[in-house]
Amino acid sequence: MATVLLNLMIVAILLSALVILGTRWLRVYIHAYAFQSLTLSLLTGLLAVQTGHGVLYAVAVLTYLVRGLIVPLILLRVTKNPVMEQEMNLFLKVPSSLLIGISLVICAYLVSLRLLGRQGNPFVIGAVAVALALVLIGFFVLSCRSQAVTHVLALLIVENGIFLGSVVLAPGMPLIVELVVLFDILVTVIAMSVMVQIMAIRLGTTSAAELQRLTG
Amino acid sequence: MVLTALFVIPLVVAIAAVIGRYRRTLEWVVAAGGVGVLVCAVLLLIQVVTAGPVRLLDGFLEVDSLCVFTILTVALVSCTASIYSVGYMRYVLGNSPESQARLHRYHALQALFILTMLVSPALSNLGVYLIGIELTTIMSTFLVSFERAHESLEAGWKYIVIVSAGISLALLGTILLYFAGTPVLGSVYSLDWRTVHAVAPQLDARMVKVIFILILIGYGTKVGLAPMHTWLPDAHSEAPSPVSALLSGALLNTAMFGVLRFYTITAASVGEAYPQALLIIVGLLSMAIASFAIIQQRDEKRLFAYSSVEHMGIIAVGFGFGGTLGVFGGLLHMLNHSLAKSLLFYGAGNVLRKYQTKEIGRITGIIRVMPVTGIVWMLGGLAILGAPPFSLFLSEFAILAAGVGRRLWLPSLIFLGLILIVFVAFFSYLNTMVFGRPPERLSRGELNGWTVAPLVLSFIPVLWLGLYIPHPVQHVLDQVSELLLGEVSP
Repeated sequence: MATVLLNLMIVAILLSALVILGTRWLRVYIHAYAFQSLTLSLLTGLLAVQTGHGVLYAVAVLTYLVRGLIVPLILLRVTKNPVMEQEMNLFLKVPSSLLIGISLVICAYLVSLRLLGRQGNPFVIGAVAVALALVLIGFFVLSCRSQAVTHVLALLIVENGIFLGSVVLAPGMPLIVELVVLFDILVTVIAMSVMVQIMAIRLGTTSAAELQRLTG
Repeated sequence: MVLTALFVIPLVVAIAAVIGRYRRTLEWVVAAGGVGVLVCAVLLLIQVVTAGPVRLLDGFLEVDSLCVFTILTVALVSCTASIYSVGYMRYVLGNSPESQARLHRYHALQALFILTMLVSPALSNLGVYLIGIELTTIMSTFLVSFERAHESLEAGWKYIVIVSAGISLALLGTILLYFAGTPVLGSVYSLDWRTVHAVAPQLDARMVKVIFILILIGYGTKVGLAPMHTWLPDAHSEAPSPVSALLSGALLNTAMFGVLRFYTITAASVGEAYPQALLIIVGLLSMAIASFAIIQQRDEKRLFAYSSVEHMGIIAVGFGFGGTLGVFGGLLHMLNHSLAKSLLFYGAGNVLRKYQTKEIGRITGIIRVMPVTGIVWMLGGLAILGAPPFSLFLSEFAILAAGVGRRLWLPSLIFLGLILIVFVAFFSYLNTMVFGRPPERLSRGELNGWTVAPLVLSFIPVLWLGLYIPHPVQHVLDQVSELLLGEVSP
């Protein structure tokens, strides 16, 4: 029963990453990210029950608070700025983005299978595959979307992927490391939001495609 | 005690900048803070060399020889940059009340940036160190885009995005390292580098190799190693000059420190050959890419920024060649590069404020306009190119000798060739800027005393270290070399 639930959560996490490739509306991205973080914290809670690592309960709660609540709220606030374009102008249209995303997922699954194949726990293989897929999709979004807020979201998806990998592979990870990572996410997001707002005020745009003066 | 003081001083400066009212007082506090940090770092160095590692907060902070060496390079640049920033920011900001507030904000950020760079290497937990490095990024982002022009905002944005992405790969590497340690140390243990280092030989070798690659890419982004260096020329050239000096002279070393920590773990696990080969490849690639950018450069600060990429490459190659000579050369080069490159950025700042341009073609006759800046800048330029008798000649020669000594003919030849290419290109630019007839309209004379003193202060050790290495520095270099060569267990 628990395994079925865990697998479902993994699938939900993966799908919420693909949402970002499948739409061009900024607010949808942020909601998808919030949903992904919520699922991630539920998964952590379930793993805490299963593995008996007490630390994971605290990690689950904090993950929800920081990744699921505070960070999306900050980002939603930033996107209220009238300068911000709400609809993405995509270099790469939705179908091709999705196709590339899916091939990244397959690639991640093959790597995971090769790395952990001998242990044979299908849940761990699937979870690590999704974790790697999130990292790859995050980097893909980082390179193919030009809006400043999507850069922030891309980095957050990469972080979510790494977090998923860490709770599945190393559930005993000391709390201090998880704490500082969350603190780091919070500070980075705040710093980037401030930068985005300064850019909006000074440059009148938040599109990173406009940032092309420095070369050579 | 000294360690506490080292961290408290920048904090006090930051608080003073936030709550202080008077500009003159703030300027003296900033300068005194810089000197205080350097004094503490030197005292700490002597203490560590004679009495072994210093611990604070139950081992959460631990300063060993490698760490104190990194702290020394940071402190040297922090000292001169603090003094320089006093004089330089007077020219960037005017006298309006609004700029007064910005000045205070600048000094608060600069002090916090220095603080994060001093604390990061002392964090013994590898996960916490990573966050320390990320904090240095965040503090410096706002310093890079401090002038708020289009270019500086662009540079700041690229900087924070690229480096955060790099750091997330280092995080992945760090978590995999934890995972690799679980079969040996159990599922719950502290990610202390000492703990991991002690069990390194028992770790899964395949996993350790993957981890080192991730770390090299992750921290390598921050170090400015090619091909992840793309943020560096932008950030270094758009930041105010004291920040450029801090970025190049101090920040890159604190990230190189992380690479070296993982190098010792990797070497203890899978042997030296594997990480060394990677360092040589990445180092030579950085040198090559930097030298191409230097040949066709038009912007003086980008010229120095690419030179930083080149020198980080030289340092990586030094550790890659390995052996007593290579490691010694790499370490000494870290120190030398900090001193000489910060000197060049201070000079570049003076030139930028005087000539109001960064374009190499429009800068001529510095030596007639600003004689002291011109002369010291020229000598500093010769030093960074590795001309004798300056200290960089010594370190580059040691690295080359290490490569030849190990019969790595091809890498040594490429190394020498790239250094020569950069020498010719860089020297001709320097020549046209320093000599020649200055534009008519410029008023003669230096900006002010604050902007000249740091140039001279940085130059003295560059010359001195080339002729004679003081005993404590020699001693700490020996100790770090032994550590990196695996001759002593940490």
